[in-house]
Amino acid sequence: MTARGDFSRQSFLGEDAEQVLAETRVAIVGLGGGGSHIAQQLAHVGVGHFRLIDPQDIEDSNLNRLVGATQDDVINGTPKVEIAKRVIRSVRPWADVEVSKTEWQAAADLLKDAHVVFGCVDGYRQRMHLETAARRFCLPYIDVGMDVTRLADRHYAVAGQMISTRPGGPCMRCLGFLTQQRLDREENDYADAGINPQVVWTNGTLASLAVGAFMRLLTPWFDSSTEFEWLELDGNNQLVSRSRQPDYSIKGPCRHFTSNDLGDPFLDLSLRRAPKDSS
Amino acid sequence: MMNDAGGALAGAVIEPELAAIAAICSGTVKYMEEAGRRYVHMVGLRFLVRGADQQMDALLCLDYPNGTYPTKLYLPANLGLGLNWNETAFILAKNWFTWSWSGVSPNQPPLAILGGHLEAFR
Repeated sequence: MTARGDFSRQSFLGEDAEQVLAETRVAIVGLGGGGSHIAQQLAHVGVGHFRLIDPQDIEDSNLNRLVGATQDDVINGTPKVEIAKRVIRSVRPWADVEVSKTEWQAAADLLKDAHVVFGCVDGYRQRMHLETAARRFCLPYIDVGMDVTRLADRHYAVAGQMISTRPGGPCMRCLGFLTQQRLDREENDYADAGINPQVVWTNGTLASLAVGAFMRLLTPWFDSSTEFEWLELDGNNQLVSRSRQPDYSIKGPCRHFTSNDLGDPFLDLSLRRAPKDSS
Repeated sequence: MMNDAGGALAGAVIEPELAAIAAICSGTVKYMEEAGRRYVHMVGLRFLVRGADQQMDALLCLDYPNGTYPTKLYLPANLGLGLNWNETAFILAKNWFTWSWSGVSPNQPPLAILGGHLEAFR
């Protein structure tokens, strides 16, 4: 047992895994049904640094799935990032947790500071923007999302996906997940956005897949040479399978993000003052 | 020339078709690209909002891939005004607001595209 805790049950991850995880900084965007699960699991595996971003306070309708939330939180209107911070610290009191109760676009400093970004946001367009940000800062991006589609009267399809992409590899547009048709439909029909159904067990399954993808990135327990993962969850039949869509969609190297799109294009070193001569 | 914080610097090269836009900006006006899309970035764009002077940086997308919104103007702040603000975007490592303002054709000079979007604030 170390000062951080006893990680012997996950020693198969590699002799340096505990140190690697303790030094890793993760950004989680969205601390609702998916993000709260991910935060909790990452605390358990021993991640040491968290950057949590979500503008919302908890509401009564979140209690069906938000890990760590209580009725008192609903009464007090506790920010979701504070609930996640509390969960993380209750597991790992030594964890470094920075929170931002803002839209993620206003917290780019926290994204830049991370090694891996988890996206738990609503909608295709926000996923597109968040992956764009991750690419610009050269960060692996792990996305989760679920949906419930009404097929007929009292007949619903529950489905979700976990997609992991890396700089230099195919992006979610290359994979065929972020299609122009989906992006356009969401933008053109923005006024029709309704309540997005979410349930705890599906969120939890997808979060576990996301944490699995993260662990494969950081620890050598399993060969993770693939440039991406897209796992589909058939929530009705409780089945997880590899998506076949990339087999038909990927057409060569990523054409959406080039090496010119890296870093802050507005960084102007000429504005930095030269150090004063101390002589 | 000028730096991105504003203020003219001698010798700046401005694309001829952007000169008219540069005349209403206090800082640099230049093309930029991200994810295969072409933008005009404007420092200190001066424009009218309900008759009052405003000045802020702006980003004009010239080839937005949506037939309903083939071009878009992004601003660093939500100006309100009852417009249907519908997106907080992250472009060129900055946070931008944009709104639903449809039908401004890309098949016209950049100044005309910009003017088409600034109509929303008149």
